[in-house]
Amino acid sequence: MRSEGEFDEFFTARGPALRRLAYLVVGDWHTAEDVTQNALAKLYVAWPRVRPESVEAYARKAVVNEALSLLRRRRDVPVAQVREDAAGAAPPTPSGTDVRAALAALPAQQRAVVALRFLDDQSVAETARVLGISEGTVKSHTSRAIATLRLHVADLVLSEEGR
Amino acid sequence: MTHTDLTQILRDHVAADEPAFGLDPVRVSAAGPGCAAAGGAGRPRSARSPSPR
Repeated sequence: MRSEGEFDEFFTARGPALRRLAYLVVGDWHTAEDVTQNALAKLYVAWPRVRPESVEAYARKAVVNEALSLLRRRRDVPVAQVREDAAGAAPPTPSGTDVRAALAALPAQQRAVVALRFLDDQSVAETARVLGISEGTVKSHTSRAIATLRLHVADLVLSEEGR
Repeated sequence: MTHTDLTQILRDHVAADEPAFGLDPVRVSAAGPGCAAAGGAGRPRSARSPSPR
């Protein structure tokens, strides 16, 4: 049986990265911390029976599922508001705000795909496994998400150059 | 926009306002819903203090 010491080691080593993954999906650090806590608590319960080579994938899946489940329960992501803010012609926005707006403009599952593939550098196949969707769906989500992000990032470049 | 570009943009975005990591394994294992589902006992090691760190 695997020890609690191993869980503590995993927690310390991977907790911050898992919280970053959650943050990219849910959009704020406070919620990301709650999501990570719940996911790691589930991992703790399952710890004795999770194979060492599967722990990373288990934790990643728990975090993403927890984040998407929370967003489904809330259904209050102010995407329309964020889009209006991002499209506003008035003062140029800082880059952080543009990236945040671009991410908020994506449907939650597309954000999860982006977070897994680009922040966590996971393959299409692994991303599909974590989300329980087909590789084709991962590819189409990726393509759509990049098209949306490119719009916002292009705006950012123009506004930066225009200053 | 290449894969690397987007990866760097996202990492910069996350790093820009990332707060200190506020979780620790004792709190998580004692307070999480998974433990409640498993009987609510929390962390089964009594030697650990339940006081917050």
